[in-house]
Amino acid sequence: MTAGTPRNASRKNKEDTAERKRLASFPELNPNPVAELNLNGSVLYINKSGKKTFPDLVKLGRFHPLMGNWDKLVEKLRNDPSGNLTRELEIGATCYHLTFVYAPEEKAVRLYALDITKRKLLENELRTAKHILDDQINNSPLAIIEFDSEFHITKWSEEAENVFGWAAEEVIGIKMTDLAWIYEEDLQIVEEESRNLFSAKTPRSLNTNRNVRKDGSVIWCEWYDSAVYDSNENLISVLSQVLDITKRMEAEEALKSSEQRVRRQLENVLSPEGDLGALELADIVDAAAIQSLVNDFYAISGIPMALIDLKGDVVVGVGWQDICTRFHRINEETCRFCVESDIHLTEGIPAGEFKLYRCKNGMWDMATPIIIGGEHLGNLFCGQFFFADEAVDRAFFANQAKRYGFAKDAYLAALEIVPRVTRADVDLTINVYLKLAANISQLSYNNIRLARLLVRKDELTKALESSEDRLNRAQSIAKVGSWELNLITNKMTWSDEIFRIFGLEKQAFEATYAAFLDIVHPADRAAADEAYASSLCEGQDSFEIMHRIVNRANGDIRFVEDKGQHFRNNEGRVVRSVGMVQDITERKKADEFMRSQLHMLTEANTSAQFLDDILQIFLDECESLTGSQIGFCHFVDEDQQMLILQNYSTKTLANACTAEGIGTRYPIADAGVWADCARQGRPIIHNDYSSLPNRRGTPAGHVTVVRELVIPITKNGQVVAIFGVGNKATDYTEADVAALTHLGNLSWEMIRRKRTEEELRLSAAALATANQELETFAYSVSHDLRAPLRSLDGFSRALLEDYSDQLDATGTDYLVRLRKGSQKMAQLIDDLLNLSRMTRQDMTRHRVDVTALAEKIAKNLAEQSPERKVKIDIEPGMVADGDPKLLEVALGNLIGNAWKFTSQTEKARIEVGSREKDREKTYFVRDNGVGFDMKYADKLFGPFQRLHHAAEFPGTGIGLATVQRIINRHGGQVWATSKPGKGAKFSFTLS
Amino acid sequence: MSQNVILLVEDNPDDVLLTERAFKQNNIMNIIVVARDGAEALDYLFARNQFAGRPKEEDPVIILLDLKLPKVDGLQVLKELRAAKRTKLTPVIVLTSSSEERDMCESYSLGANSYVRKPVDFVKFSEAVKQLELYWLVLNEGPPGGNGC
Repeated sequence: MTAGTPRNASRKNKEDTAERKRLASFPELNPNPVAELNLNGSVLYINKSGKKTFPDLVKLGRFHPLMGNWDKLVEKLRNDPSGNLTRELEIGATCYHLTFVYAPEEKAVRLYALDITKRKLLENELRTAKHILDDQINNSPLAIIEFDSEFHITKWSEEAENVFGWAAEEVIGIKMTDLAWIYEEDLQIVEEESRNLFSAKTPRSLNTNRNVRKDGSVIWCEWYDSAVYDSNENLISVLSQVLDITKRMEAEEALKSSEQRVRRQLENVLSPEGDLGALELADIVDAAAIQSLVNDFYAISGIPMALIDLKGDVVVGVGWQDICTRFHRINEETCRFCVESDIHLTEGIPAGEFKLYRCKNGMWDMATPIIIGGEHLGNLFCGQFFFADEAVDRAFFANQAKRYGFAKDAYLAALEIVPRVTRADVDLTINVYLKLAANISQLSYNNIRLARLLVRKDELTKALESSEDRLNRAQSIAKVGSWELNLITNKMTWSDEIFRIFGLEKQAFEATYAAFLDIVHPADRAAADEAYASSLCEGQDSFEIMHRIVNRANGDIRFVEDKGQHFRNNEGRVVRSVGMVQDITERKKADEFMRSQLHMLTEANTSAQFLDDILQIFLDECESLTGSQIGFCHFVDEDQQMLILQNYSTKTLANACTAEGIGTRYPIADAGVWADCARQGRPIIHNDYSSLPNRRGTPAGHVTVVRELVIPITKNGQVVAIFGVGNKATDYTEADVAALTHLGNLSWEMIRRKRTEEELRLSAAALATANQELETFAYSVSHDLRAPLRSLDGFSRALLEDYSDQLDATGTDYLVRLRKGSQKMAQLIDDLLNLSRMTRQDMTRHRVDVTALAEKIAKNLAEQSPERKVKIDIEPGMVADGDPKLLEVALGNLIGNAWKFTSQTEKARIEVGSREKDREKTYFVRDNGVGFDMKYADKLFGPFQRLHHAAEFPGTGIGLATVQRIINRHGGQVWATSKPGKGAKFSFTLS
Repeated sequence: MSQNVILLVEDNPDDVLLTERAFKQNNIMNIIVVARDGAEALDYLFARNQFAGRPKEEDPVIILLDLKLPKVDGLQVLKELRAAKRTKLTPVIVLTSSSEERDMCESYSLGANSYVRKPVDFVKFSEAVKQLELYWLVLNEGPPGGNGC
């Protein structure tokens, strides 16, 4: 300021307006829309780009209501401490990022717009691509788990949740060994497996081990692990596919245990040592039949007999003597003699022998035991009688009558009618009754056995049925069938599931080994036969082979796993083979599918550089997975008019097609039947290509198409590409459609991802170019914009010096103002360039001696204004991690400000120090200067924001904006606290 | 006998006028030859084209070089004159509006003897010219044996 020039606020404002107008020429150069509006929403200024982008703004001359509610916006802006607001605005297909900056001094709002359509689009695409990829992993029939090189879980599919019970969010980030999911006994196997994967010895492996689910239950799992290495053979990740095979194992187990149980039961029943349990003699023998037999025999022999159980109960009896029934068995004591005789005297007689004895009541008796099923259940007695050749001791009986109080006459009369038998008759009777006893034993036992067998048979049949039923159900779930081959009878039995797997009717088909071989796929037949036969010869006990079969019902080719076990007789000859057949088609397909997918992804991520390469890898996989000979892919243009041939599979290129070139465009409307899929938007199978009525024929050199399958890739209802395969040896089926569709979609996502990556790369390059242009722009501003100012200043000065005598005071004043204006503008340009330099400049972090830096700045300030007396305290030993040059600028501004704003303070004091809290260091510059009102605190750091008039404190308002930019670039924060008249404290952190 | 020519390479006529004025104010009486672009400067220095046959005595004792010039830019001029035997030791003062660091660095690395940023404030400019004169024309001794060594 020139001394003595009168100044007031309004003049100053006019000056600023003039400056602003001059500055207004900058935005013209800005390629992005810039506008300035007053608080009513009227357009004060709009640059060239703005006019083009927002014609409504120009036409209306004010803020267009469609762009938002202006009044609300202004109100928000006024209340917003930062003084700026951002919005996103879509005009047609273009998306703009709008920044509104409130300039309170000018009572205006500046609007900066940036076209972010592309960025938005790319963001969306990336999101979709990732989403679809995750989706595919989640829909896989196998559980997919991915580990990073440290074996932390990074991916956990939905199926993994089902198998193990943990949700993804519970396990992601957890180390494999920290999750209690490995069955303790299998820990060693799993650890070894991990080590092998690490050492790159076995980049792929298949393991079966037990795992523990979240709920604690134990499951059997098949783990298919693939390690992904980078080009230096460092492990990047491990992709595991897990199949829960518990059901399969249970089915195997069920088969084994059901067989064992059946065998044990049968043995029990057939063993002669049956257990008769609580049966009594009366329950066993046919009393009526025996009674009738012995009645007849008694009529001839006259010898009484009885069948008595061990408790003394008479089961069958004939020729009972009055002496027994009327006397001996009536009197308590004599009855005891009878029973004692019956039981004790008959003890220990072997089966098939007789014991002759005199009972305690003085008469003869004979006895033989009835032993049924090895158990003594009763006795057969003959008696009582007297031998014909012996004299009866009548005195004894008379004495008996007296002793036990029997009527003597009647008792003796009864004695007289006791049979007297010859010894020959007795021998005969003995023989008859021995045979009878033996027959009773044998017959009864046979009866029991028969009865029991029948009961048991029913039970067993039921048990077998239910166990078979369970087995069948388990087999059907696990797709495991069981078979048995009896090599002696050459009879083969198949479980229901085998019939199902083979596609045969159970009733209408006899299971034989030959029939089995017939079902086996012709190409695998010899190998299957050989596997079985050689396992018989070479003294092995088992065999295991995987082969294909041709399902009889539908001609499907299925993959089965066939396992068998042999049973040998004493001579070591195999008499029986039992085994299982499991349909592993789905597992194999899923496996193959995953392998394809993994291969594609790995290739696409690592080796493939160009879209065409990726596409070719994909097409090769599609081709091999569907067993095809041709693979091709066309993209469909946005108008849905043209098909553009994108690539062929490697095989197609090598062997087949020479006629058409990649990149050829075919109008969809005119293309042949192969384009049906694009026209109809659904998969098309032509298994009878040659006989299609609307076929157009192929150009010369084109491979002959026998069969083809073409599927569309549809996005947002539009076909974007078609993938085709052709010339499979057999007809294409729905399974091929599913496989090709899946791989096709995956390919498309990979292509999109690659494209997105490419576009991101291009937009990064564009950004670099834009930065380059900005640099050039800044450079030219620095040179060219200053030159006219120099002329203004220089010639004003010349006028003042050389023509002062021709100028009056007003003229002189004008010239002085002219010079001041141009100098101010020069300062503004310099500050702006500085600010932009802070952003453009490369940043390198070093250890910075903050104390030394502050001291250097303070020294410079003191040298520039030696008249000032300021006490500056700088904390010793402060260091920071940052860019030394940028930090010097930031600190220079802060200390410079403190210096400036204490210029009117007596005993000015500046303090530079630091505090540490929660390991974060905060640096501060504190002064006791004029300070500011905290309600403006957030405006401090905006460019050209000033809280003081230039007359009080000079400056362009760019310093703190520069500080903020520098601190932000360091990842730190800067803030200020103050009270008017009480000084200010500026603090900052550096991350 | 040297005529103490100062070569001013400057395309902006205003700056030429102001520079000449600053010289005059500081009583620098050397002959000032103005080249309006880099090509003309090189032609003068190497006495070719329109300057063919110019006496060697008119070789400048000092070159004031702007950086942003039509045709051949200042840094290129500097490079070429430093490469030529005839001008390799002539003091060159880069006199430019730019305060871009890369300009400054490149100027020095190409062999500029001094780098002066043209201030907008004419007083400061005049001051700067005065400093130049003092150092390069009065205090600084030229290379021994004229420019030929």
